[in-house]
Amino acid sequence: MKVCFQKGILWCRWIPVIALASLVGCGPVALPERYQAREVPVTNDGELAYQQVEGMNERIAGVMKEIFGGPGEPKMPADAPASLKVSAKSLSESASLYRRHCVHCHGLSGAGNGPTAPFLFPKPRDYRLGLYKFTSTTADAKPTREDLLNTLRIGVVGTSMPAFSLLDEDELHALVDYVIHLSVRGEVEYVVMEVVADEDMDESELLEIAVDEASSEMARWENAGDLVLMPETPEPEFTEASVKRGHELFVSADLQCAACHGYTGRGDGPSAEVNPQTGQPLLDSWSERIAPANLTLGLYRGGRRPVDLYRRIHQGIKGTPMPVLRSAFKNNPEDIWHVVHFVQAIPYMDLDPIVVETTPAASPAEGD
Amino acid sequence: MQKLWSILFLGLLVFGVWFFYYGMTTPGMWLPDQASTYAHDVDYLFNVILWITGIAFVLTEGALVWFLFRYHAAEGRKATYIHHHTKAEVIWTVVPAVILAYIAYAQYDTWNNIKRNPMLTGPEQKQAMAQIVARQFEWRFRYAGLDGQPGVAGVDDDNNGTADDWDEWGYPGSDDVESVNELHVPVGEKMVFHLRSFDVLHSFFVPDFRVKQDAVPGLVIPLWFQVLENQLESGQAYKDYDLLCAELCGWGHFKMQGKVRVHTADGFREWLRETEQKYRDPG
Repeated sequence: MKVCFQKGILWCRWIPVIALASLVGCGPVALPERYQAREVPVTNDGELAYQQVEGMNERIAGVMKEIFGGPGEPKMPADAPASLKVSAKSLSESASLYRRHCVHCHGLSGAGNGPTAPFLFPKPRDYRLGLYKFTSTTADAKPTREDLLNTLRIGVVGTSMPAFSLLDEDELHALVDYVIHLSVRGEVEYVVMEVVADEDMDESELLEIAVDEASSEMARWENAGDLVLMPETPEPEFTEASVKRGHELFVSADLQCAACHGYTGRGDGPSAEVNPQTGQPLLDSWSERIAPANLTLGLYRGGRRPVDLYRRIHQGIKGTPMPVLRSAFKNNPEDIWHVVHFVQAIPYMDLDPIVVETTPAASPAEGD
Repeated sequence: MQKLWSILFLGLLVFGVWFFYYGMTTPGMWLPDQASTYAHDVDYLFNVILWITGIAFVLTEGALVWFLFRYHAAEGRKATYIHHHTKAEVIWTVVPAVILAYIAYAQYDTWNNIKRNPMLTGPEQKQAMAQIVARQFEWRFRYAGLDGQPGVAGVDDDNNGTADDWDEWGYPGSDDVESVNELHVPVGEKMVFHLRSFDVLHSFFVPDFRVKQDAVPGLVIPLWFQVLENQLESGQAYKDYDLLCAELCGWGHFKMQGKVRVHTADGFREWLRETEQKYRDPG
């Protein structure tokens, strides 16, 4: 008994030592000098898009650091328009806010590769492509600042992106400032990578190309506000007739919504997994497998307002196989609203696949 | 050295009592405002249990210190082994049993009022003002809108004779409105909410209202509260309270916060109208 007791005492005196040791990990973390280098993209055949050249990453990092700084002291290019940095906070403070709220999913360089990212589906957005899915603007335009703020305020339902509506307005603007910074930086980095891989250039020429590219990207961000899509016709009343008309259009050969979203809207159409023309799986611009939305859930990632759904149909969803459908409604733009009404009604309807299959328009997937 | 353990445990006793005394007498350290009608009842039970456990703590710690002090190891002293003592066993069985029976009796009305109120289930249930959906890591609220009916009032598409089917929440063309992380409520009204979870266990917790209810995936759990009229001073348009998740729900649990904004009755209807307007607004 006595021996055990003494052993217990001996063991006990290590407790404060262990407790102290565990505090060591709580100090401030040193930030890396530069953002993580972008990996060379892989083509559809599984080959690297560019040959890795000796010292390539160092050269790219040098140019990028010159223009954009590092995670600790980020900066916008010298000629950045004022509308891209609205918050009263400095970009370093914005980056610090980003590290508190966003970095564990979106990663230090905005590559969507934070520590939590491997466990999430869908994957966090990689900002470096400069593509944003849920915007109010036309298909090839950047999002407006308001679009990004809206995503922060309401989150993206059905994904792991939560709402940050309790942050104050200036903090939200600060985060948007920094996301734009990372986005422009990522796109410029890609161009610099292409140039370094292909051509023999000295550093000053490389820098010039990067600065030009940054200017043109920033101009696109600045002009996004002029490219907001407003509905061509006012929304008609939500009626049964409107839903019926929307249903006809949904399964029609012109629109082919059902080919991916399925005849009952479950996202299980004949082309939902593999594109029948190419035999390739459906991928988004980030090379991730992507599934058509299951419309029976009533969860709309880009927002549930009628005008949000209108924009998804009118201008498609950027970076995804969801196409721009404007041309299919040339003669009758009001029809877009009928499809919106049908999509809104899907979760509340008992759609019978057999009834749908007997309609003449539903030809491509009869046997499915 | 022989007295070390008795001094150590005496210190614990003194510190424990002082700590609670300090917390209770320092403004802002003890319980938050009693902002709902049943907050007072919940606090009463909390205090009853705190006093019972507090007294038990002092008595048992006191006995422990006394025995450590009086009977510590000494040269030539042999421990005695007490095997059976009916009187002691009866006392330590009956006393806790009486205390537990008292707690069970004392809490009955409060529990019934909060968790088994006729407003929540059964034939007399009240129409829910909103549906609360907990999700990693945010709160979503969907209101029945100005008509007080979820979906289109009177729609009954499964023909079961009731128009309040959950499936009709947010029925297109209705005036239902949605809000994220901000629960808006009118002051002084008895309100029922239906709590659901999108993914894992969460817990809806408003400390000032003494409301805490787990959200369980697959279940629709009704809860109710009524904010006291005196919470808004005259002329005050609204007041904010914290809303927290009280169930560890994942890595982002810490940021699963929201706020409850208590409006005047008119202010609440105005908020509903504005939010509905924003939903329709193309822009």
